[in-house]
Amino acid sequence: MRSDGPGATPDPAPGLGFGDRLIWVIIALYWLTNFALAWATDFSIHRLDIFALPLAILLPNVLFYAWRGIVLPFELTYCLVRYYALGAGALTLSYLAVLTPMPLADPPLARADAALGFDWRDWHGVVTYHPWLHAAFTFAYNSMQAQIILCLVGFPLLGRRRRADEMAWAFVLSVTSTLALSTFLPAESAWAYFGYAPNEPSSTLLQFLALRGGEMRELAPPNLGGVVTFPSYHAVWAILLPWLLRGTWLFLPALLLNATMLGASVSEGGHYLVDIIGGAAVAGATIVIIRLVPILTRPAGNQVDNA
Amino acid sequence: MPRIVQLSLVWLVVAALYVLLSVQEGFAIPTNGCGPAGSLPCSVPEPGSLSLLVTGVAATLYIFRRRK
Repeated sequence: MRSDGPGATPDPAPGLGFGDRLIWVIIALYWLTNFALAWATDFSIHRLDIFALPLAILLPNVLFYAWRGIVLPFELTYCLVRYYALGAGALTLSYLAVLTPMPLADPPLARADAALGFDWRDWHGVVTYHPWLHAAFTFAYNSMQAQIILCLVGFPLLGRRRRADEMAWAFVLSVTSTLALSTFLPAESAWAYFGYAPNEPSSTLLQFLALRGGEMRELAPPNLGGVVTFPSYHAVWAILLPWLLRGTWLFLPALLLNATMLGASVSEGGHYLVDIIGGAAVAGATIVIIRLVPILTRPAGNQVDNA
Repeated sequence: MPRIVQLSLVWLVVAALYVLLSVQEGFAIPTNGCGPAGSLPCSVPEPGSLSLLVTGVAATLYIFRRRK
């Protein structure tokens, strides 16, 4: 088997490690939970064929390259399959979790911001008053998914197998803890709480309200964007992405972009400041767990992996 | 079969599938709402189109690696 980069260690074969098997168990648990919740609440998730399509395209690739023993295309397609299988499961659960009859957490979240001396309306006014700041925040906030996809495709392409695994576990741990927290602390968003929503309601806020009100009884792709307020998932990735890019020339640009994204989450995402702090805590805990439990990731495929 | 022919065939199939699926599934334009204003586009490829693109890249890598 050929190696995948300068200084690479011999790669036995395309295949799964312990951490991978554990991820697939977690993905299975996600989907079992989804189907159980959907059945219990009479909620339809049959329109999830939008997620079945990429899996149907990619799975034959994964099996073929595993059979042929070619590492690079295997890793590339496998990482995407893993991401979509978990992402679709987590996204579905984020919507089903809103159906739980928990009281809205907006008042305590707003009080927590006030206790920290932060005024959301003032901050929003500052951003609105400076078009350049608003434009920078909009760009940074919208870059999250593109950054994730670049890493998702880039790590396996560059033979950085351990980074790809770290990214997968960062996703698993952060999304699971984010969903657990948001289930017990559902919130409409600061945007709605402070009265800005009637003029410009977002699609996700409308979905959140429709879910709570019982009008939305099925998932309706392609407009699924996530309905989590606390903790901010943009804040989570604003910390995880530079960490994943550590030791590369992309680290500093990623740090700058994601620092901007962190600030943008308040105005562009309609988040309370405590959502950002909560997201940072989730990201910090995620990194600590990944560092403390090396068995979650496979051996390095490239010496840069060891940075 | 020459490598250039194999590559052309791979990308021809990818392009044909993309056209077919984008017509059937309507996934040519990613329009997920991002943020409170609802007017902020999330400029990332839709999962189906990204999967096709990655399939093409993986096949290209396979063609080059297999011939080494």
